[in-house]
Amino acid sequence: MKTFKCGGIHPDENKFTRHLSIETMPMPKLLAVPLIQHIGKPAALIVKLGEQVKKGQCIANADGFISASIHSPTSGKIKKIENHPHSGGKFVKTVFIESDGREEWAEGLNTDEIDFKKLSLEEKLKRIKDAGIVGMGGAGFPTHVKLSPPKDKKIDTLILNGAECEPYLTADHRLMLEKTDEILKGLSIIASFFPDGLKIYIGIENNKPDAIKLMNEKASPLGFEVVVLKPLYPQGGEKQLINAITKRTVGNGQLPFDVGCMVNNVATAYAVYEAVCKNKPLIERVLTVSGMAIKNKKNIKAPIGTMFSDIVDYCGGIASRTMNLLISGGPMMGKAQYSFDVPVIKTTSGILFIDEIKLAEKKERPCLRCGRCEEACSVNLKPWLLSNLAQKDVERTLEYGLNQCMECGSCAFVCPSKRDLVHWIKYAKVMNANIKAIGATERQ
Amino acid sequence: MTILTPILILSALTFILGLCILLASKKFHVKSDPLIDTVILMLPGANCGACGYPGCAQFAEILVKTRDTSKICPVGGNDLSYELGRILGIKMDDAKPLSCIVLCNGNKTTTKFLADYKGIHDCWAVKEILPSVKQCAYGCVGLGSCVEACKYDALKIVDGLIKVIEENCVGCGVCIGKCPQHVLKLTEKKVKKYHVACSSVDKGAITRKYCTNGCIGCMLCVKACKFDAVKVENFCAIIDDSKCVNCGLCAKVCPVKCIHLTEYAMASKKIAVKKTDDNCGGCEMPCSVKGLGEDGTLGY
Repeated sequence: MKTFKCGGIHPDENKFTRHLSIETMPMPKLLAVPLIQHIGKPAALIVKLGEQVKKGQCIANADGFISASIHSPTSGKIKKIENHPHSGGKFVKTVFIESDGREEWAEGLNTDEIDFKKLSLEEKLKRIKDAGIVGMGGAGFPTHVKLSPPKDKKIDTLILNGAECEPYLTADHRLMLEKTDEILKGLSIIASFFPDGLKIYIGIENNKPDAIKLMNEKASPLGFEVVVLKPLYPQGGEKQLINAITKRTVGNGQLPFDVGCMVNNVATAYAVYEAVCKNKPLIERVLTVSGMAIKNKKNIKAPIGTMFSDIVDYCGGIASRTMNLLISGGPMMGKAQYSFDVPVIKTTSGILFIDEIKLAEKKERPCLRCGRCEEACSVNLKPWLLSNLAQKDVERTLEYGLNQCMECGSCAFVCPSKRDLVHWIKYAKVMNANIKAIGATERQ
Repeated sequence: MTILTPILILSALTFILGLCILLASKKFHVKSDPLIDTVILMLPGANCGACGYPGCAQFAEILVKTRDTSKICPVGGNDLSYELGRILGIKMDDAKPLSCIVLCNGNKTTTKFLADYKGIHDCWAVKEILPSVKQCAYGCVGLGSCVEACKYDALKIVDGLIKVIEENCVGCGVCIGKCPQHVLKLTEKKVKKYHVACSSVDKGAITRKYCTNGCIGCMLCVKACKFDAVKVENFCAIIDDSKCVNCGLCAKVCPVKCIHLTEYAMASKKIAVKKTDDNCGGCEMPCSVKGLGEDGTLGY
């Protein structure tokens, strides 16, 4: 079993939904589609209030180089356009679409499957760009940008990320079991963008033996190698996965293509397949609904823009009266939400309803200097030092590698004093950005 | 005899080294204006940055070099300006003491809370993950990032809302940059003005849902004002300081009572009213009769 070189933790897996097959959720009456579902510039709105849209119709165009277009997940009428809570924590301009129940596809979309080998590279890239595909593992980096790296960078290794190291989440696991052929086709499409001689790995954690077996059977004839990974968080992190599989190290400030690698999530590969072979834009995604406070835990395929309240209704409602945490994403990197009106976006890999008494009693205590956060850190930082500096001298955090931190939360998980290490690091990043912005305006 | 040799050697050494120091001090002598040191001693020494320079020393240097009459230490005010002018032999301009006001009046009881926030105690940290701790995304977060920044103990959190203690506030403006919500603003200290204590740009109905003290943009104040000084922009009233005569009519009609006088003015029960020909009736007596004191203030 392979793993990355330093740090890592192994929280309780709690993958309750691993045996439940993916259910397709019925279309809710009202969908809220935010204009920010990816890293980069918000998409530019091209529809008007009251306009009739069809399923899959583009409602917002990619605005700028790093941006992705957004499509209507259903056919119906644009009811309102206003600021609405977003799973990122801020208010974001959101398009509300009232479904008319007819589910009419826009022209030329959702066609019968075609052979992707007949399409030229430009056509494939155009289809991926038009479908608005972004990295669905969580970061949401537009895939069409990722697939066209700078000319001088040579990619020799392609990695499919099926690690799914976050506890609770099983969406990628189920997708690998149920849509194996489609994922492998999607991977072949991504591979076709790069020259021959490309090494293709599929990284799967050892806690998914059925997926490893199935992938081995189907991927080996295609020449892809399945790599069994040790179940360790954050194995699914881009830099960690590259290190575990290829032993290469992505340094500070480098991107994966600097070391000749590219990592794609299984959900992204599936979306690429659907976009290229079926001309189907990214309007739905598979996500895990789990946690102790929800009645029926499920893996569901939900349209983008489904509000969490609709998902609660579909999953039988809240079972526990003491539910105290609603998380969009996994328990480690996901964000706590304050409202059930938050919609599902392209990067929502799960929704968790946590009922934890310990959380209510959580109190921050002074740092013991035990060094466990340093041991757990997978990028060799000193989280205790960063969090202390964030409170005293925020600019010095940059000297200690603040920007290398990917906020995986391992340090805060192991901290015996329950310190908000990740929150302080996030705070330091915001404050440093502010200082930089003030400096820039003063120079002008 | 043996003691004499070291004594001689050491005396010679002392003499030579002393000579070196003398030469060095002559050669590397830095000419400095003794006035600068005097001025530094007179300045408050808080290095607050209110004058626009990094600290008191830099301010003193610039002041002594340029003799610019418009360079004023806002903390010291007119008294200090007069003293400095006397020393430098110039007549300084009149200082306009400034003070902070808060453009929000949504405290714990009037504003609903968004969630049970358990993260770190800092407004900027909240803004990274939530619109605000309170439901209103535009008002004071109430965790006191500005309190830590204030060097004069002029800010405190009361009921989850920031309050300015006017006596302590020197108008340095350091807190303004520390507020992620931009609810702090500088105004002239001596001239007490009415201001709208709300920053919400949500529609009236939404503001009302979040906060019972928020401006709902009802336009009553606009209609009440006889001097065309109030307007509503983005569902929030704005009072134009240049036109306002401080009659207080707008505050009387405001249904949510979000048009405030500053704390200090309310405590002293006196406000500065401009004398006008138009009898607005804000003071309930015509200007032409009496009421205005010699200093232009009016006892309520």
